[in-house]
Amino acid sequence: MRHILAHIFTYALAIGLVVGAVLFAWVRSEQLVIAREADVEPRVLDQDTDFTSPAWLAFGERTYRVSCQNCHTVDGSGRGMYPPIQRMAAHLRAEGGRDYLLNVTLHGLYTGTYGAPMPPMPELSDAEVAAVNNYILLQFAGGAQEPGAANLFRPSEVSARRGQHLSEWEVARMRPPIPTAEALGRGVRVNITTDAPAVPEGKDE
Amino acid sequence: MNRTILGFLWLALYLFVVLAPIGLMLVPPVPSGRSFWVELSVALGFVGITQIGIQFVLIARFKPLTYPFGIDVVLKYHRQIAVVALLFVLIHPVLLLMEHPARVALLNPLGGTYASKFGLGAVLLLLALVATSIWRVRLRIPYETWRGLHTGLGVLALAFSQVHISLAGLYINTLWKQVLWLASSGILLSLIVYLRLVKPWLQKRRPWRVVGVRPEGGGTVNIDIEAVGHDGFRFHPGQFAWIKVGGSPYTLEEHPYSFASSAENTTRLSFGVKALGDFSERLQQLDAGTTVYLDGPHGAFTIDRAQAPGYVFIAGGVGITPMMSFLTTLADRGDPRPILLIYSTNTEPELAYSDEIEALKGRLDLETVFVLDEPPHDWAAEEGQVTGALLERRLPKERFVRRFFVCGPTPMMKAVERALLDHGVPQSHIYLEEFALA
Repeated sequence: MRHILAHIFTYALAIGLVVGAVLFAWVRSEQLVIAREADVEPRVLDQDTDFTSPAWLAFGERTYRVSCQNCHTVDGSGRGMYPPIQRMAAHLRAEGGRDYLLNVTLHGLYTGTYGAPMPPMPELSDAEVAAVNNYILLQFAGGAQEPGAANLFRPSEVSARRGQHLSEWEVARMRPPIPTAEALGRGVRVNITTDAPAVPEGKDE
Repeated sequence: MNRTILGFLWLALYLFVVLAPIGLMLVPPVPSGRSFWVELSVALGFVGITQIGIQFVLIARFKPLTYPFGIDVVLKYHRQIAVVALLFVLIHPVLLLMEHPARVALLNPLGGTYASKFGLGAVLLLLALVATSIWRVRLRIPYETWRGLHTGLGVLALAFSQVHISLAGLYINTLWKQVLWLASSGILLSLIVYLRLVKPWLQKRRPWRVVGVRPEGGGTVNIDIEAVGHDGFRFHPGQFAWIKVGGSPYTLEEHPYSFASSAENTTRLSFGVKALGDFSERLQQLDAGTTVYLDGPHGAFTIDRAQAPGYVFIAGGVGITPMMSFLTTLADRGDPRPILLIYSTNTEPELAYSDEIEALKGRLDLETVFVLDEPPHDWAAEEGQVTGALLERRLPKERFVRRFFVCGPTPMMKAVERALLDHGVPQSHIYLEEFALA
């Protein structure tokens, strides 16, 4: 009797776990997330066009923390395991660079340089994509790489880049001609004390 | 506490623990939901690794935990749910690849990220662990080697998985979540320390000494042991203990044997051991005075959990051992309830404890039916197997209120259970004890 009940429990639990996992996946993919009100995209962002305002930066930081930080790390360096995303303003100024940054976020990237491909993240909202790119540009700017407030991304730009069906290799081919460390021959000389962005105070991994 | 209530409490706690990771993933801050298949893959990964982690609790032989279910059921569940967990863990990377084939780069053990390397390592370790367990006999791995291997692979697999989770997950995106996961893994791994170091240390302080080795019929040997300097332990008739022989209780070499003696005597125990392998052969050749260590009592195959107006004990071969414990305990308690013992072996000399059983008839309302497969020509009792026809002849009229305890080789138990059910005995009145425990 005990054995029969145990068998029933085993099957029921296995089925229950699968159902639970499917339910979880559905809840998550449908974005039915239980979140704190403060985490929910603030409506005020619709009207606020100052992308350096504290509301936008906080929103960008939150998005970075939950969706990017585990790979790119808290200081954007990637610690050698993932691509560094510091001092990205050069991309912004290069030909096609604006679209490239948004394409990377929405459609992913694979160059073979790093082990893992950057996964596409179409699930991020327009405001999230704009905010997180702005956050990266501002937070990890380093000394002389300020993007300039006028060059920051707007959510309306993001929606135009959706629905392109780009593969991550195609995104890699669209990379703007930014001089790489290899092309410069000697690598980029970085003064760690002034150029590298510090870990924000009170923020650890 | 009431056994049923405790059982349900443990199950409720169990369900909470296995679903906790899914709940934890929904505690803010949470990343934006990704596609259905990615989220399903992540959920299955988390659920799978939680199950694997819980295995460490199942095998730690906690008596309060196994008591409502019986440790045999818990260990069987351990084997079954491990396969389910492995399937979940295997589906996890497959779904990720299907959703996004470029991730195939992560399967390169030299490329990929540290997260993918540790994930890959954990999967390989788990596959090795399950393969060596399912095909241990075919792979000719000695039992003791396998136990060490099993523990080692399990510990490594959990450690690798924990590193993978710490590095890979979007869901482990805050310090407190990291700490919670690391602490849980640490606690689970420490259970191995408990089972392999703390428990033996406690056993070392309560040694037992062999005081007599007496051959019974059919290659079965009765071993008497005595508590050395402590008050022994109380057990229920029909329970068993893991026995370790030799100088150290820290050995991996231990095997479970049922008590054959009365539960009313707590400092002097006996076991019936049949030579079925290297270890039992060594047990049979023990000298008086040898120190042994016990991990027990364990098991739920006992009349104390099944109150009834009468019992039927059906034993095959060395399955007589727990029945002897039932009979001697009932005799010591002066129990007046009617008992029918059906005991089957191949030949007459194989009937173990026959003198003792005969003597017990004077102290109990005991009726015996000996069944021999190859009886001598002057055999007056039953011959053949324990079949439906035999039961029809021999079972008492009030068979529907009696409880049936069956212990013997697996085919015999299956046949007897089938026959009992066919004769209208309710499933809930049949108790089975299997030798194979793991």
